[in-house]
Amino acid sequence: MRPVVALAMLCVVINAQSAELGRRVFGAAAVAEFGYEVLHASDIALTQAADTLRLDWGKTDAALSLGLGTLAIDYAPVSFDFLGSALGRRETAVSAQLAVRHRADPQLELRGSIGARDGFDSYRALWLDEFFRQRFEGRPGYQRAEPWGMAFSGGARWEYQPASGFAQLGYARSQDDVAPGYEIDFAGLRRGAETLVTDTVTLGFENVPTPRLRTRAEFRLSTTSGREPRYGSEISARFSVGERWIIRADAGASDERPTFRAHYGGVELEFAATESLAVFLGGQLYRDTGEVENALLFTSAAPGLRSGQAALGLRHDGERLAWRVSVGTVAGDFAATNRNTDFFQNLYRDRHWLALRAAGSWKF
Amino acid sequence: MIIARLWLGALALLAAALFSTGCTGVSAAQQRLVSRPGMIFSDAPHLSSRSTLAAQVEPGRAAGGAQAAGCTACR
Repeated sequence: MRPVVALAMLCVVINAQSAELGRRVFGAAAVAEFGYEVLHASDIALTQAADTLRLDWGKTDAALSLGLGTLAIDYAPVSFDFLGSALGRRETAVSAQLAVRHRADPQLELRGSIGARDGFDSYRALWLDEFFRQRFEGRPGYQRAEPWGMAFSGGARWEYQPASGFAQLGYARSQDDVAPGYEIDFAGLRRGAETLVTDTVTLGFENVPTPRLRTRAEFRLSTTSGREPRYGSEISARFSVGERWIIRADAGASDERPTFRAHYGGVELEFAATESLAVFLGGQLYRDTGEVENALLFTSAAPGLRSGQAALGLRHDGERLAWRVSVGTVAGDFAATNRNTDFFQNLYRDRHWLALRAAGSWKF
Repeated sequence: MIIARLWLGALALLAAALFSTGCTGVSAAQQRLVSRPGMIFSDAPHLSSRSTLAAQVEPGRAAGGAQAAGCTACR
């Protein structure tokens, strides 16, 4: 049974129970949250659905999330790839996560989570897996990829100034069994790295400097097997222009030696049409230098990318039901591939994506 | 690399200037405007503008894990 359907059925059962218990489920206040996303280009379609059941006992709350993602690609080899053939591939990925928060004292909240995923985590991994499958399937040493991953995290959030100053420290470790790459020489076929372990430390601050401004800053350090550390920072601000207008702005950067750098930022404007309904319009820009190439002759690392996004949406905030929907577009512009990456011209070609999102929450 | 370091440093300085509450902070009674749904930072999907699929098309946004590692199937 699909996990999302299972969670939906669980919510129905709990909803029936909550009516009898006066909105308490297992002694807790319950909220169901859902989020659905679609990214669609001419040759790739991605979907992601996640449903969460959140139970709040006062000092402690727990959230169980189940996710289902689909990846569909129209794989197309380049014209000079005589070993390849066009093929449609579709994969699904399921995931689950349990997150717990506990208020140890009025100013300190402890957090932890565990989660796992079974399936490809990106369309690019699927594309590359198909590339290597068409080349090497049947040769000694080739194994069908079965990517999966698991992760856990722990952290604390400290309210160092009542209702207006928060600091947050977190640590996460993830282990991903990825679809490996292959190379062949006189010794035969060799598989690339199959398991990546990533450790991430984050330090964040959320503040209310003025009665109209809320801000957040996050600094991040990640280390992944066989790679240099990746540094990241992201700042966000929410400014209330008046009773009806809100401006949201974000900016971030990532940096990994020797050459990867990414910068991004965006602005969103929101107008409250009524007390419960708001309309928002936003845009974002993104730029990176391309991924780190650690191969001598042949690599599938992505070239530099520039992209822009625009989205228009509605949000409703009701007493029990709240939802948000948006429609947008993402335009990605890759730099040209070089002779080491020419086999992936169709993977790293410019695309226009249609982006659809719907999300909501229901208080039982 | 120097530009990237300057960018990160500028973000840090901006954060220090804008993202502190000073000595007293804003009392809860004065937070009506910043407590509205469109003003808060939340993991709840209907209150967040973060896309879970975005890291696939813009890999520099990934926080960690295989996607942030970039070339998961290189070579």
